[in-house]
Amino acid sequence: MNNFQSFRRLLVSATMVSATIVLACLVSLPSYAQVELNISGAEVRGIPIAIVPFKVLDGSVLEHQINEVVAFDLAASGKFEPIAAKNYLSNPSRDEEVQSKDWRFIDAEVLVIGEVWTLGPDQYEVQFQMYDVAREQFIGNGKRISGLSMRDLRMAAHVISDNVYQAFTGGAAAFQSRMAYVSRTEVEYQRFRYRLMVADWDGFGAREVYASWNPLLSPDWSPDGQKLAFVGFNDKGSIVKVVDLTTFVDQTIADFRGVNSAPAWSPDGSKIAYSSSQHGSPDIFIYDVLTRQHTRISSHYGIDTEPSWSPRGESFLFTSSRTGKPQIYSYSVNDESVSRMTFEGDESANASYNPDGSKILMVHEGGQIAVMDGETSRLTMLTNAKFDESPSFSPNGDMVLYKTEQQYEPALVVASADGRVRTRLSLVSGDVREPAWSPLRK
Amino acid sequence: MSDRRKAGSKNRVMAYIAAAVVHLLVIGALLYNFSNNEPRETIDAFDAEKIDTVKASVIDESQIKDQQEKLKKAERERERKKREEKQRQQDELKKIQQQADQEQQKVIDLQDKQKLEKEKLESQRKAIALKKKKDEALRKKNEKIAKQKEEAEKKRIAELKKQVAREEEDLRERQRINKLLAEEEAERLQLAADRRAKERTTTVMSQYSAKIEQAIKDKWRVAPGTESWRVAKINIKLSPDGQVLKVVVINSSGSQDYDRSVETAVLQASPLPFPTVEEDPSAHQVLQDININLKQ
Repeated sequence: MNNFQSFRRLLVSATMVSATIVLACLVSLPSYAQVELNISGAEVRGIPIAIVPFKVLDGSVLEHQINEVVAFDLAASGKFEPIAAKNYLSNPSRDEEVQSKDWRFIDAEVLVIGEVWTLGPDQYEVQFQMYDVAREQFIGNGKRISGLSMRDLRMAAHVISDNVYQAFTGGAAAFQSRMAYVSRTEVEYQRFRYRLMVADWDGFGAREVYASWNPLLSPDWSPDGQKLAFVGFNDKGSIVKVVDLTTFVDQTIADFRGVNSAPAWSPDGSKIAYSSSQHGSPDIFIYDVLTRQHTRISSHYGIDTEPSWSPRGESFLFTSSRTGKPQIYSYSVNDESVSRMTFEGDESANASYNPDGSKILMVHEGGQIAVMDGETSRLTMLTNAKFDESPSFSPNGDMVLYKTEQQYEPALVVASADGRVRTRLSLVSGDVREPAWSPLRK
Repeated sequence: MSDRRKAGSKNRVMAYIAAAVVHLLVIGALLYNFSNNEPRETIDAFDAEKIDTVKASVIDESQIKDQQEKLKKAERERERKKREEKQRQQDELKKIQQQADQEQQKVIDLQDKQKLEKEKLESQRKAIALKKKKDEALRKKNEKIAKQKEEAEKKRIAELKKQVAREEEDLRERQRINKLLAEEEAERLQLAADRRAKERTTTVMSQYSAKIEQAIKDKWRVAPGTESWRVAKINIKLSPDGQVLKVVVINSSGSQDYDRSVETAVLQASPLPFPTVEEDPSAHQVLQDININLKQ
């Protein structure tokens, strides 16, 4: 008891002493007014990043320069601005070789270094490390991607891009995604071979998944990325088909009388919405993948086409000419109501949501890619050409892939979602059209 | 030395006196003899004649004549002898007298000399006494003068002291006034200096604030798609040479990306332009801890 009391007394006095000290400290603080500065007008630009050419340990020359692929990826996103390798003051490949002042000097905020190990014939391993120049610290302990063939080195580069993107933007990256497009090749005079192609997102490694002597249109990815729905033609007209990307087996979904077009997978992959003119004017139908049932959704006398699901699948956008000119409408699956989404301009078509449903991508005035803010309905032009078409968001919504014409040549271009950066996919050449960005690999 | 000389001279004087006394005694004796003899001699001569005459009358005439002649001769001889003797005595006396005279003279001389000496001594003594007196007087006078002087000096010193005190007082007063003036001046100067320092601080602060703002702005980029309404407030701590030591987000923009971009900008701008102590100590101090509002 006595001990306890004395302890308490001690505690009290100690508290008082410390309180006094704290007070004294507070009192003795200089009475300067806190300086307050104001800075406004940040430059909107990507993160300056340096990607050092990866050191190939056995000195062999690789087909694909990893740093170049990474730089291309990150630059296209608009969220990074790679600094040209010729400006680097040093070329480290390991942690201990990094001098932060070298990178601060060229205003790099992020540094990526790495090495390629040759483990055997066509057997590689890639190690990489990210460095935060401003904070002078490495991000994690570095990563290793092993079991790579020469062809896989490119995919390893995309993996690195994803890592960098995620580390420094906090968002999901999409550099391992793919895209589909249609190429047209004139095999003989006025005889064209249409081929449905699938490539890496940047157009590399394209391979044919379906081919036809008739035009192919509107490829649309199944949510799992395993299948493509597209429009083909038979003798009677356009039909909706699906091709499996693993087995290359194709099946016809809708080959009704008239025009069957613009298939769109629902987010859960259970339905495919499409447009069909089987009842006269094109209307929206929904095909149930499981039951193979077709349900007519709209029955307006105008043209209803190009359905595109909302990210959650509770509604879809479609293009309708019910007011005379094509505009974007939204159909709610729950209450079967239709609401007009676009009011600006004479024409809006080919709309689609971004992955979080906050933006709507569309073709404005028949040839200009525009993005509308879902909340404010404000329209931002991504392009200012007049021949742009088939826009699709990257699976993370940061980029838009579309078809344009450059010097009378068709070209596939990726624009950053704000339209600041446009990158032509020069790996894809020829008469290309109808690009569609895949979802992320599941 | 002088004592010895004095003693010598004293001895000499004593010798002279002794000599004089001896002479006097000799002379006295002689004078006594002479005065005693003369009457007796006279009587003797008278008696002898008388006696002779008596004898001549008694003895033969030739004989008496011879005798007489003889007597006469002897008489003459005696006479002569007597004369001679007398002469001799006279001479001697004369000589003695002379000698005595001489002695006397000597004594007199001596006495004179002594007297002279005495007189001299006396005069000397007198002179000394006089001198002494004079000296005494002089001394007294001097003393008096000295005293007067001293007094005067004292007075003067007192006066001086007073004056010094007065002057000191004056000085103190002047100093006090000067000090007051100086203080006033110093205060005025201090105020002016303060004002100048303040002005300088303000100038340096605004200069470097602008520089810092620009330096950060140069490095600041926000990600595309950043909402334009976003604002973040950060606090940064700087080292005395402008190195960014710490960045803390006080008010988040609500966007991790945005906050991060702000932080990155500050770190990338490090070291920031920073005033040295020489440029302005206050600015140097104050700018080490600043808040920044960053609006896109």
